[in-house]
Amino acid sequence: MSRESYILPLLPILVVRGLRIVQLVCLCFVALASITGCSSDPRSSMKPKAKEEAEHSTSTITQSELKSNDSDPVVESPPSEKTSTSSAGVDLSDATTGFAWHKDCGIDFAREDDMRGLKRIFESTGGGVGVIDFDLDGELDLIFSGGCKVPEELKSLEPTCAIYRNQGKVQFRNCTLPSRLIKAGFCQGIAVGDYDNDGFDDVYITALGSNGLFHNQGDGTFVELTQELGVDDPRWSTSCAFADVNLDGCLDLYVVNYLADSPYDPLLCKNEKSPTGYEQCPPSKYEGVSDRLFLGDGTGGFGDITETCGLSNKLGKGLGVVICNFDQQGFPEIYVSNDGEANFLFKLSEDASGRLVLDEIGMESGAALSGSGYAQASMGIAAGDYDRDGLIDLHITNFYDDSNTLYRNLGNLQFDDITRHTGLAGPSKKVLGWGTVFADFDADGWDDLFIANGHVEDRTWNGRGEPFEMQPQLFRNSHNGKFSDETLKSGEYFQQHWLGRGVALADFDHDRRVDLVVSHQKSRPAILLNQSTVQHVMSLQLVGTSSNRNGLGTRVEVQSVDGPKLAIQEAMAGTSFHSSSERRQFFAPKSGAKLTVTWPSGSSQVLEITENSEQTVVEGK
Amino acid sequence: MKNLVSVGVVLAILGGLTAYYFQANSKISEPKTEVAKAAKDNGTEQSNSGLDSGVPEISNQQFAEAREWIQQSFPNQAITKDAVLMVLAERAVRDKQLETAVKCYQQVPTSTPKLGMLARLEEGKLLVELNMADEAESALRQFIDAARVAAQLDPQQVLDAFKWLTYILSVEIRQEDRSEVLKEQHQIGLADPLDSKQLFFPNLLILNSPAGKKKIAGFLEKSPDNLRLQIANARYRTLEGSYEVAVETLTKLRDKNPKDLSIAAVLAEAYFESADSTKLAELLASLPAASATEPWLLRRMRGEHALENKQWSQAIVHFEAVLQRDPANAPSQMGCAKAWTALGDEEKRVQALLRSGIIAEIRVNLSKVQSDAQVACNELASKCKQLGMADAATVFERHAITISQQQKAGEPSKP
Repeated sequence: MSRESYILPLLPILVVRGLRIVQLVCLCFVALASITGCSSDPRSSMKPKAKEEAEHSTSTITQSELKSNDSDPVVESPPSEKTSTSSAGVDLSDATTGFAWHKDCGIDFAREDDMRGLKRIFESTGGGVGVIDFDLDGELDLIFSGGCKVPEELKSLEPTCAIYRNQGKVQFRNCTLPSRLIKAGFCQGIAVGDYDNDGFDDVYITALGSNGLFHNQGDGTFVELTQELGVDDPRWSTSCAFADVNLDGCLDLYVVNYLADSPYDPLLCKNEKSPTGYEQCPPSKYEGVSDRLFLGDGTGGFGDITETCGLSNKLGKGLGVVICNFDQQGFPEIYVSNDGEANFLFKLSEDASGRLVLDEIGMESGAALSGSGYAQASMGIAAGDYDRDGLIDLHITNFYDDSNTLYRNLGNLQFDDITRHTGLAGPSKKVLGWGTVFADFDADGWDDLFIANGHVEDRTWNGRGEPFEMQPQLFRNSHNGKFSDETLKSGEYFQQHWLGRGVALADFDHDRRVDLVVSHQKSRPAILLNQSTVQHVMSLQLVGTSSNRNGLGTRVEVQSVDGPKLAIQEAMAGTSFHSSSERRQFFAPKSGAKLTVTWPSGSSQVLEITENSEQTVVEGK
Repeated sequence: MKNLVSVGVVLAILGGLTAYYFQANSKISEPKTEVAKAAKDNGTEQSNSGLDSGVPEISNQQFAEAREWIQQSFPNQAITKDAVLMVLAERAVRDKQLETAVKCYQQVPTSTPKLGMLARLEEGKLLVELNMADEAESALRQFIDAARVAAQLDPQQVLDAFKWLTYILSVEIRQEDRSEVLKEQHQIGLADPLDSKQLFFPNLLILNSPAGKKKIAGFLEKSPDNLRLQIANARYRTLEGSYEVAVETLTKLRDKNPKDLSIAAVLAEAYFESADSTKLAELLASLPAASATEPWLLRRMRGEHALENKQWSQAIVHFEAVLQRDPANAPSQMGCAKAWTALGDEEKRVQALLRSGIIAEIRVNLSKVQSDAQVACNELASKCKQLGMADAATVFERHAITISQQQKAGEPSKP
């Protein structure tokens, strides 16, 4: 795609991001598209039930719009009076990691997991959350994956997923029907990415059954192209990720598959002592399945290279994925967390004919099993340079009575389980973890850690003391390779117990503090607004030109004036569980530091730190 | 008349309760049948018509009633005091007076043909229920000792004794002791797949199960000063992540018992898991040199410590010593892999990693290996061969054949 073709789509992005005062002018264009997308009336062509729902959602929209216009701001204005504009001179030891639970946000999404007492394994995985600015209005919107009654409603066309448009001030409105992001079925993971580099993020949603690829039309609506582009997988798919695995400048799609279990004839495990007569079958009773890799062809299409790249021979029980260049050489690697089996680390290369091939090196890398040689439950994955040695490390969530695992990246695709040394082992034994993310919540330059917890099923009847709902956890980086448990100091949400599942990061209120959104089973999602006393100095939005437009795979290094590297971040694909975070990056460097941006194409740029800024960096400019 | 009615009532009740007790205990043993049989066959015991059971809780009347019941049930047979005591014990169990039952059993010498061994077995089981760990172990070991030289044996009783003993040793996480018991059980051909899993894969099974934790707490409540129980309890604390509690307990125990390597082993593990390298180093430095007979756990901790200090060759020596005794010890195998990686020996590194992978697969699939799972036994045998565990492979192949034969014959699976 030529550089010129980027210019028109780039214009709204640059204006919205860079200059607020001009925002209104350009928003006329964007807003027109948005209003058209969310208020056009497709109801006339809908079936009666859908029409009724659409009417209901419109009336709800009206009421909530009035509410948001009349009421006091539900979000605190950026606390500029209590934050420093420069990290230099601020006593960061007082930076806190509290979060305000933003309850009144307009999100009424409730996921149906069909927990009818049979304890079928798919009742426990839950859904995820995707962060997207689908209408390019500068506000981050949200997608939630929903479920349904299985198998009765699997073939229903009623949407179970939902997209909520952020109307500003962190107030959301269900926009599912007008947006035409109609995905039915028992859905699982969400990936967000601009696979055709047209400037608008697209969406892929996995499911127990057919998955769905939704192309963003740029006018506030989506169109499903799953079958046309040949990117479906009828098996049980879980996490997924858009990434440029072959560095050709366009995004590819990796789909993780979990177990061979039929929703029409699921495996059931009886237990007479259980109140329902059943208990969840362990994953060991199922066969694993292979994942899928679809390579973007540069024209908005995909080719399924699962067989040719050797992936079809690797059977796993995948739940999480992260795609990242762990060794900073050549192609990125793909790390998949497998439930109860060795995790996969795929190293990509090209054979003599230029064909992409995957070599599974998990065992050799040290990241397949725990340090004690045990395969673990391995649900969610967080990836980040927690120790600031320039290498991306991994944190994997595991089962109750087993600790989570922190693999330190030693370089050369070697990892070491150092969980014991970090303070994370003990506190994670009595919880069951799912979505997990590294993020610098207190803007001190070091990645902290959040974990959503909750059991797979209610086992309180067996008297073993295993709780069903669990508290999430927040660990603050102590800067010495260890973490301190800050859960109880982090706010009201953290005091309660949940069936936490997906987690995504986003700065919803534009205060350069990283916020969280968490999806649950049996409860509505939660938006947690970061109340840290310190905010990041700057944020960075990447726009690739030779590289993929989302800038996935781009590495940003923060370097101090006198040379030493302070931190690195990589725009990674995947991570967490079933979820997709905002791609903006946040930095808290000392004054005089500079950023070096290295794009997947190989080109690099050096940026000066501009305090109090939200910058967009375009490759090559 | 009154006496006849009383006897009749007692007989009826006893008969009903016998049936109930038989049904309730049919999986493990049928003591009533055994006692009656033994009482009937017991022709060498001297006749003792004394009314004194030797158990204060048993009245003369109860003794007499029991004696009379035997007389009625088996006329023309000599009635021994031991036989009466066995009946009294069973009645006490029926009445949920377990301590009384134990005392009755304890009055029966082990040397009494048939009855003595049965008394030890039943006594052992009851003592477990009463959370008297040491006493239970002692009783069960007495049974096994007697079984070694006994002219006649009931295989089911022997199996029961082994299973109850290994249960105690499992709760107390005494892996080496349990291993010895399981080896003997296998040698006499009385092991089932569940026993074989414990013998060949002791560290791949869950050590700190909730049931185990609950039972050790029960044992400790009865014997709070019991050193072995305190050590085990501390290990449970380590395994659940309560490192400080474990260290505190073990440090006190070690102060009182500085030469006890079992304490040192578990304390070393607590230091290791809590990443206290300094304390681990100090502890290991204070111990005698490594020996082949020291606890596996201690040897493994020596290996882990050497690994952390980049003493790669030393680490391999320690880990391989553990693997000699426990070939599927996953942490030791991983430790070897790390050490060979650091030493740059590619061939040994790959071998060690492959073995780690096989062990990981075995661990995940161990739950499928049950007493009636022929396919799972064969699959496990195959993995054992890959690991070089020929003995284990043979055992599981035999289990698979036995299961297959039993299934064809329509029999329930048993050793």
